[in-house]
Amino acid sequence: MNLAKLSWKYIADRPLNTFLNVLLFGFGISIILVLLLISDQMKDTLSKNSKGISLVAAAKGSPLQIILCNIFHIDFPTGNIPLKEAIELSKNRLVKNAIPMALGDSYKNHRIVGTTRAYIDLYEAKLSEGEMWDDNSEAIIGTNVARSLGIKLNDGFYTEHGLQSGGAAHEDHEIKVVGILERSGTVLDNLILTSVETVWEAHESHGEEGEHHHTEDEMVTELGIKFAGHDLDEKEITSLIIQYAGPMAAVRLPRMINSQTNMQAASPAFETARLFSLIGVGVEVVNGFAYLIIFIATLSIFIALYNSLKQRAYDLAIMRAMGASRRFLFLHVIVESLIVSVLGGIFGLVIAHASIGAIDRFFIPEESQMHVSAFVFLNDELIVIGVSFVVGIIASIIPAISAYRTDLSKTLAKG
Amino acid sequence: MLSISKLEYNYMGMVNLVYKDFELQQNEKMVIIGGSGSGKTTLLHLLGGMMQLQKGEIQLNGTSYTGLSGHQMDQFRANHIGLVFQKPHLIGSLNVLENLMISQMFSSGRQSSAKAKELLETVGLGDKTNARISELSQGQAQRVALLRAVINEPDLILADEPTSSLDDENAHAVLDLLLEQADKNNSILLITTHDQRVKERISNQYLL
Repeated sequence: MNLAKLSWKYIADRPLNTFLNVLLFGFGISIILVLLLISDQMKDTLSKNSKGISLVAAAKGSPLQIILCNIFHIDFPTGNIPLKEAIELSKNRLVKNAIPMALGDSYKNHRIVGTTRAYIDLYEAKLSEGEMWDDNSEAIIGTNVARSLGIKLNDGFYTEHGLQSGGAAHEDHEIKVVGILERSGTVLDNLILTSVETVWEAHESHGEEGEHHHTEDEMVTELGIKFAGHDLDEKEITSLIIQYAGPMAAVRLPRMINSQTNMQAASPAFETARLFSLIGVGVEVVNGFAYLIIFIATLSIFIALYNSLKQRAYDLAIMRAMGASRRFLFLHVIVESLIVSVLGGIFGLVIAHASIGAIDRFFIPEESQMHVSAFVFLNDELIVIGVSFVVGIIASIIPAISAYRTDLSKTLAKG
Repeated sequence: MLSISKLEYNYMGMVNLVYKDFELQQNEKMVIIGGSGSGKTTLLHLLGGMMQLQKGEIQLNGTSYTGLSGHQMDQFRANHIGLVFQKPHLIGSLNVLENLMISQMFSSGRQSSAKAKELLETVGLGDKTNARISELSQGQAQRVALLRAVINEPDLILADEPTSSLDDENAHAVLDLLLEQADKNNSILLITTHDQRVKERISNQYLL
């Protein structure tokens, strides 16, 4: 027999009440943890995906939509921009690097991105098998695409018009998978990548045959895209991903794009911060609710102890008669409360990670870019241990003091 | 040896209890007899170190209670004094064996479940080791309470009306056990009572 075991015996003697208090406190803790873990993983995903991207130039529209569409591949494009303007912009001395993006097609819910190799280099992604595309009917796919659609190297597929499944297929234009990317933990895992030319061709092949005279024209290469010189005026892309050349660019380039071109500049850093401040209000409300639950749990542990000690006055006096010191009784009550609160804290941790696993499994579609993992642990979670101890002590300090003050002789004399 | 000298206790200036001096050697037994309000329980609580001394002195085996701090008194009580009350007051959240072991926990000796089981065997409760307190009859519970008081082999056993709520059969069984354990451990035994059954068995009487 020892202090902890003795305290445990009293807890085990009222299992329903203990269960309720562990549950209550655990839920309060788990809400806070779920929010913490999800927002951390979201921020991590966002920063990983927007790493190295200073600015996105796309058709006029919502800057947030531009970012969500062109970096995270969640929202729809705001429209197209003329290739000519994109090329001009890329030659601005404030632009260090510019990558073209041609969006709008998909295959079984996975987006097809027409771009250049620079886009893959941006995320430092590597091929796990196969090779880079070479020809205009070749593509490489992200590891999640390969897994979820069961696509292997050298398989062919037809792109579908639109970003959601069910769009009209460009059936006369088969694309062959020539490479599969290694997992990079970025959006690339869920994308099908090909050249801008391939995306153009898939679209042009709709009965526009014969209008082009590729062979007779001089081919030019701009932005890593190869096309017939006389097509320059009519070609369009979705957006241009830009890396700044020097700090002055951050000040001047967005203003220049917005005022002097038909394009809209969107900064991923600014837009994601705005997104978080929008979500932040909701997070604050739910967090406040969680703190309220924790407060109620603290009160509930206190009431349970207080009531139990009223019935146990004689037990405490008997222990004193057997030679227990006042300090022992004080600690006995504190430990009893700590066992409940720490159990609640552990329960909260387990529930939080299990819920995140469940959220990911049941609420986030497999092809989504925003996945969360139950197995990510943060140092911040250690705070739970601290909170459990604080709650345990706050809930028990008054009962513990009254146990400390048990008047041995008077209590026994009443017996 | 247990001795009291010039012991007095005053309740808020109203009642002043004055106790005649006495001295008891190892294994001596004495009953304390007096009407209600005569200060029997107060004397027992003073001897058990459960109340602060006001006047006079108590010594047990050379240790004067006056010189002990609250914490030292707790420790002294755990190691040298065993207390038995009118009702068993066992701890309901613990089983029979644990009720004995908790007493060992507070003393500075080792905890031994073997010793606790052995004691339970001697009083015919060997099959109740893991029983809940609520499963015991009153006589059985009082026997367990008594074992709890003697398990640390105290120098002094103080019993406050230990038989008054028991029938004849149980009263004698408990009394037998008290005397037997006092003899075994060479303890001084003090019993407060107005129970004729106790007075018949112990001739040394202290009248209040």
